[in-house]
Amino acid sequence: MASAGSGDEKAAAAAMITLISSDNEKFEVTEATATLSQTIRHMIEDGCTDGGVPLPNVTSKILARVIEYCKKHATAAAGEEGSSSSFSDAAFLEVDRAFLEELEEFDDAFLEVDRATLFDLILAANYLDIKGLLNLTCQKVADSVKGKTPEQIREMYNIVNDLTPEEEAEIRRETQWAFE
Amino acid sequence: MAAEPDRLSALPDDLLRRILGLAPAREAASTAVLSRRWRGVWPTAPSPAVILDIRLYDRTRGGDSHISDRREIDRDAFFHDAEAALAAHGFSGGIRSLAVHVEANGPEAIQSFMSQYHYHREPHYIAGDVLGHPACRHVEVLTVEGVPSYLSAATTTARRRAASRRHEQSAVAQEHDGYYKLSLGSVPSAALRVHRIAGCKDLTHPLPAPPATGAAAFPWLESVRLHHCAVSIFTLQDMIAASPCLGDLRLESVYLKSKVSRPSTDPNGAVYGAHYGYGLYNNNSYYNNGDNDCSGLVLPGRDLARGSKLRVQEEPQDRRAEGAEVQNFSNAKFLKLKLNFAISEIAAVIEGKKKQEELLAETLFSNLEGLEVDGQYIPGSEAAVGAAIGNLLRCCPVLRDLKLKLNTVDRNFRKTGRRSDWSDRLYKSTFLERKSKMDTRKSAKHFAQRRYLEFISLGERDGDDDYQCEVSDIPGLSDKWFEFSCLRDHLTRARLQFRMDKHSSSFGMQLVKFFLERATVLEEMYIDDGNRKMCEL
Repeated sequence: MASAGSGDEKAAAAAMITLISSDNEKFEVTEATATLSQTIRHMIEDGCTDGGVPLPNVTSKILARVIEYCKKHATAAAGEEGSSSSFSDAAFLEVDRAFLEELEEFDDAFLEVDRATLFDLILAANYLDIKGLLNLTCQKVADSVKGKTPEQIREMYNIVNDLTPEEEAEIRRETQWAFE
Repeated sequence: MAAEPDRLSALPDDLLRRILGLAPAREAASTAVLSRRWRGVWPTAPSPAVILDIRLYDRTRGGDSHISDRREIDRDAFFHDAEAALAAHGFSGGIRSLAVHVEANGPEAIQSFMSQYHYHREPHYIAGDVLGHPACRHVEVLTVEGVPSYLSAATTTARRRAASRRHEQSAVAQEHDGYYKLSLGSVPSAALRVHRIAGCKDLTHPLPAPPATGAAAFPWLESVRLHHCAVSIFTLQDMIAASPCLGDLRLESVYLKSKVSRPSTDPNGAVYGAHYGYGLYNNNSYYNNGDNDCSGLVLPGRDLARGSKLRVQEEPQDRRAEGAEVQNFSNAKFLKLKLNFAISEIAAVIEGKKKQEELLAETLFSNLEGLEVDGQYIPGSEAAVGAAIGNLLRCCPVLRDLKLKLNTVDRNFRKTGRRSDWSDRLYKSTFLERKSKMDTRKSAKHFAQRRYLEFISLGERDGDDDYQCEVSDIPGLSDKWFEFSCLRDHLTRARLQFRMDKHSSSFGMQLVKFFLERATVLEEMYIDDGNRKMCEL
């Protein structure tokens, strides 16, 4: 796709950033990819990314996934900008549209992870301040409780009920409407 | 089996609140009882969000979102819970984000939920009980959606978003232009920043009362997205005028009604809904590439008379690029129009009353500098196409950059439009893009500088540089009574791209001539005749 291609070219010319996971693995990414994270963007703006960016809260396994997400979405952002700002000849909507569809399919596939990974991704997205990824992962959790009773939610997430029966009854009374 | 640790409860409060803000209100509220950890997480979020989803009150299925032809919705329970969820956020205007999703058996049922309508006398309705609730007074992000359940086939978790989008789009092709009426007056506007409405068949006056005297009715509104709605162009115009911060207006599958009396001259509003007249209809039919379960999917082409299909997507790009102050819709600098239907139908708009012309011409796109039109063309409708182009040009008095792409209507595609068709189309379009780029580059050598052009030469392949042709004017466009200030003073770049069959290619030639003659400050002109049949006049 032409728009994606030009995004890659642009990115290739841009500066590279090294990200270092908690287990000391190094990841080379383009600046365009890295700046999807507001946290890293601010670090770049402050000029403190020489010698790599240590991310002590993110394991290499999770960081690899996060970078996968950012790469995909950075290309999308580049393609979008190219098409809207410059009247580029490939800017016709069906191409954009196909790309958006692809992106959505990517997101869906991206979310096919076990629960532990999902929570790791949420925490990483929160720490790195990647809005899209944070919304995506939180929405997945929110969807999982839809139509579920508290008992079902507890079971699903292994939540131990440490309320006394009296306390529980009181809460149920306070928010009675939610339990009918 | 070793139990997985409770990762959910271990999340910090702000993340839990974020998650609860994305879940329906009842489930979110019920989490208080999960464990001690969860007490007080809801509803005291820093940016409280409430999602009211009618599907969870489906008696027939116990809230499971499967396809169901006849839904039995527990109306009282829904409004009871809605009231409770809103009340839990206090009466001080505590909710920042509110989403209402209504799914019912049909337009009437949706209407009866949404607002009070003359033949519905339900005691509770969303416009009043929810939107009018004091807790919503300062809502910033508001989403109102209405979808008939027969369109909302649904969905297991992973495919949900993609599927719901597809359903919305298949809804477009249904015979209805939305399912419910909603008065703008019921929208809590004081703090509203982002407003999304889907499936509304009539968004009506009056505008909400301004929060302060002298203020605009929507003082902070930045982004409006209408999806699959019908709205009077006057209402939309007034809404835009009352939104000084508006920088992003998205109309997707929106039918703009224009042949209704302006409400100011028709105080009792009796004309509303009486007839739709002509208008602009945006249609995302390209996206109807879905699976075969999008039954009931009828691609446009079923009735020409009703109005053109037009997709308007305004890009907030200048805002993004330089943070420029985007005052309102008329300050839009760039507009892409995608017409999935015959371009000639736009002509209908200007055949209306004089007043309407002025309204369109003077206010609609008064600062638009870039316009991209991708339209279709039915051979034989030259006059109407000419008028349509003229109409667009007049709406854009300071247009600098025009890109016009015309295709001859391909009826066969319209009839089927399943996935294979679509991907074929996509393939073609990307392929053609690449090819057209090469073509454009070639022809640009010949046409790059208008001031050196003494005559029209298109005979590149034939090698006869002096090929000269008689090109007639376009009725409806080249007529004297049009004054195009953009052509006189502003238009410096025009790109014309044609994909036409042999018989209509002379029209492309006429357009080229028109721009060469009329656009007095034109500096660049790119012409891409696609398969170059233009040479074979």
